[in-house]
Amino acid sequence: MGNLIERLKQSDIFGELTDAELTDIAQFCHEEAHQENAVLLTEDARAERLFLVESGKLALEKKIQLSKRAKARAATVGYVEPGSVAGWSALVQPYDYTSTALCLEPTRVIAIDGAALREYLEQHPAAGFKVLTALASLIGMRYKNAMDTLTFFLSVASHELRAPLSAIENYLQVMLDRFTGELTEKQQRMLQRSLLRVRDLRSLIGDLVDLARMRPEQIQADFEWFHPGEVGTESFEDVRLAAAEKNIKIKIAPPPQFEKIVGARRRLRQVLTNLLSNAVKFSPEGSTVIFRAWYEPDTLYFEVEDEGVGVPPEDLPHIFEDFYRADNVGDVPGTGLGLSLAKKIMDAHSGAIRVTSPYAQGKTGTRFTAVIPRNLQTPEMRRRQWEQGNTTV
Amino acid sequence: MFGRFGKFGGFGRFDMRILVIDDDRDFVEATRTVLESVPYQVDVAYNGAAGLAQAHAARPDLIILDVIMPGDSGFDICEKLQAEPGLADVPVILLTSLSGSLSAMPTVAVKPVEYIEKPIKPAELLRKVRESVK
Repeated sequence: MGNLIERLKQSDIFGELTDAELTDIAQFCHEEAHQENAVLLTEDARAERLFLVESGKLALEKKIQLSKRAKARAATVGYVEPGSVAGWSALVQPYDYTSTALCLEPTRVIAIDGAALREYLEQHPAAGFKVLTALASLIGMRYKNAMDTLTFFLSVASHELRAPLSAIENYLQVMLDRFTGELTEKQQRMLQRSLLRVRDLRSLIGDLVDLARMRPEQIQADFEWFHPGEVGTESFEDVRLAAAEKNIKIKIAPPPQFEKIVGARRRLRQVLTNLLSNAVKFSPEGSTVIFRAWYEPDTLYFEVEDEGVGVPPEDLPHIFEDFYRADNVGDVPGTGLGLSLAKKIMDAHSGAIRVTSPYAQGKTGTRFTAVIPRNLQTPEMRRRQWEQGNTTV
Repeated sequence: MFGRFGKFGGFGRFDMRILVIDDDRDFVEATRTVLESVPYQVDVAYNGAAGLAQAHAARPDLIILDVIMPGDSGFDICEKLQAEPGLADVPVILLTSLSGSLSAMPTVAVKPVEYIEKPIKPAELLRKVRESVK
């Protein structure tokens, strides 16, 4: 028992407890040995026991499924080394988000009965405070490690992946523009297809980086006064060539007059370009896409309507989820990220994005509506308002 | 099709010298191909120090300079150019891979400076080159 108390004292979360407190807790402990690949905890389930690792190593994993059709894969989100613990949800209720704990090698642990430990800590608040303080610090450190990993990934994705693709795209464009000599029809076609695929890949990386780092505060920090008509025009220009290639007519129906609003100009252009691009991608040749905008007293609306394949009813509730692609997309290229990013952008604007499909009796097609409030504030406006509110007269 | 007379009307500018500074050799190769088609005279360097040395050896009429490079960044090179009396007024086009807000780039002391985003479109590059040396 004396030895067990010493071992508990060496751990991350019990180090501040007195010998008397550790003697009490030792009653809820027993030692276990697990083989490599043994699973001690299952993700998204509440842990029954807290595990203090004595030797060996645990991997904390979460399942990631990139699309409905893809196989779910385990991604490692952290490690538990000797002296540290896994299974915090055994102590903290309610819990929200837990990982699978997998033994990476033969691992010896001290398993602590979660219910018994919880009850003890409730009855001994001083000990409870020390343990939960240590636990909060541990989880904070794991969060920091996850952020460091994410930051590393983002910096790699941002530059190391984009730079080679940029070089490839440059070469392809230079060849297609005949700077290196004439091309046969077949060469032209293959180079054009290669350019398209490289651009898709670059776009995917851009979307992934956006998805990983897009937070509402960052979008709101970019709020400025801008002319929404200009953004609408830019989005139209973004898709004009793709529409022309399919002989799709884009009919524009603006309001009688545009008035300036506050928002993240670049991000709203991203939303409108995404909606128009989807409309063109999923519409048949020769069809019409309608791009309209109108004001109500408190809101600006942008709407894109197409005559395309529509969204099946069972896919409609999921269409704004990350990586979600409806079942009827066929071989139309896409990442399934455009609409989820659009939704995040509209949420950051305290607005909304809505889908209706079909929107008219007897025809296929989809209508997307972006709703932007007209009462948003730039960072400068918020700062001035705060200052006025804090000025003593 | 355009041969020696360049893509934009056959008025070669071989007296005009452009220095391209970028650690990405493929980008330099692609850019040199486009510029030499006009034809402009093109010097290249693959890092900031070599670029400054080349600029001293043969004063360019325009510098095309990558922002992100090992060692001195494009902004560092711009500051050094500003400090050199013979090179301070050479126009600079800065190449950036950051998507979206070019307006988020820091204001650089050297004037004139233009920005262009990678991957570049050859026609846009040639347009910016013509505008920068007007």
